[in-house]
Amino acid sequence: MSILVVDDYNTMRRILRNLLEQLGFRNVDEADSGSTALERLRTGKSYGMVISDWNMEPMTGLQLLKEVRADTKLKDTPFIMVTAESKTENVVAAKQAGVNNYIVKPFNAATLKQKMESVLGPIA
Amino acid sequence: MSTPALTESAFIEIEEALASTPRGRAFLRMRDQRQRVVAIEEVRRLSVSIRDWVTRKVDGGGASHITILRRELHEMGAYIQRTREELASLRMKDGAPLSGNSRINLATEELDEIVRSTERATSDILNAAEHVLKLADAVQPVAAETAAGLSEHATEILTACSFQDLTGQRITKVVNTLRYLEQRVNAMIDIWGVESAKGVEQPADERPDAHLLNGPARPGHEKSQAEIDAILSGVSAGSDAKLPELLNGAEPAPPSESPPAASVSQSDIDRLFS
Repeated sequence: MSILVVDDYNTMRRILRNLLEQLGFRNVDEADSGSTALERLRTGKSYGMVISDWNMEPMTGLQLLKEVRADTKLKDTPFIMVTAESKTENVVAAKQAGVNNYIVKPFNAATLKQKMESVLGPIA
Repeated sequence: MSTPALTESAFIEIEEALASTPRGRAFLRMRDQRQRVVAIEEVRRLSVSIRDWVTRKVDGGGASHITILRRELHEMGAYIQRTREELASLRMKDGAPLSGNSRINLATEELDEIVRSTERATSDILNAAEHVLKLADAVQPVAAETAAGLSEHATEILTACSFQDLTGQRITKVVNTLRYLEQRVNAMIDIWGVESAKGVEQPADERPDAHLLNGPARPGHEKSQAEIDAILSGVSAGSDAKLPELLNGAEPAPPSESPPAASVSQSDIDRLFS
């Protein structure tokens, strides 16, 4: 399964890529903004999950999520938000937009695995 | 025995009866004239009364109010002047505009550099952690337990590196706030016209080498160790060049009361490193 990691910080993309590889996901692609990710989702290969930051420019993670959910081809793509935005209103907004799970930074490998399993089922 | 009051219609009836004869009309004119005199006298008496009241207030308790008002205005003026001076002090000593070389601008550049520095450092740590993960994979067939331990600790290092993302976001918020403040201060300067105001001097750094203390250089302004070595080796015995002038960016020492120090020779420097 391919996973698209979206974050404007290279550090966080590398961390997520490594953690995903530890979990057995070797096919991981990266995008540094919501707009780059959307372009990749619409024109590139099919992804089994999107793991996205929220606070990015020019397109935020929430905007990306809404675009994904509004796209007939992408609307069922599992989407996990990984962000430092931890206010209730943020979580509510993401939930209303159709996010599958929500991870607050900083996080650890166990949390990532747990949230991914809640969406995808048991990970070996 | 009280006289009953006339009704309005009875009053008008009598007045019309008087107005129907020459003597009656003369009576009415004289009555009106006397009433006007009484009214004027009443107004005059009221004016004198008001004037006396105001005079008493000004000469007595009112004077203290005016004194307080004057004092408040004076303090407001002093406060405005201090504010103008504080705003002027935000400019650099060379009078460079705030939008260019201001202290706020320098502060934001320093914070930006902190973000870049931590990103570079984090990248180095990630490289090392990824290397450890590869080593763990390599030793896994012969030492599974050790490999698992290595992998676990390397993963902890990886996730700990997320601090760079968080601190970066926080610093970016501070930078944005500083930029906003800079814009507001610039707007205040434009409104208040502090161009000619005398700035408040910063407390002087008493250290003798304060003029050489600039902190880490910004990108593009730093010198490599090789350049520093070259500068040190270029200061030969008998050279007129003074060390501060060779170190690009370092200001010459300000004039002092003591006699000027002798030039530093390479042999003097060599002795320091021997």
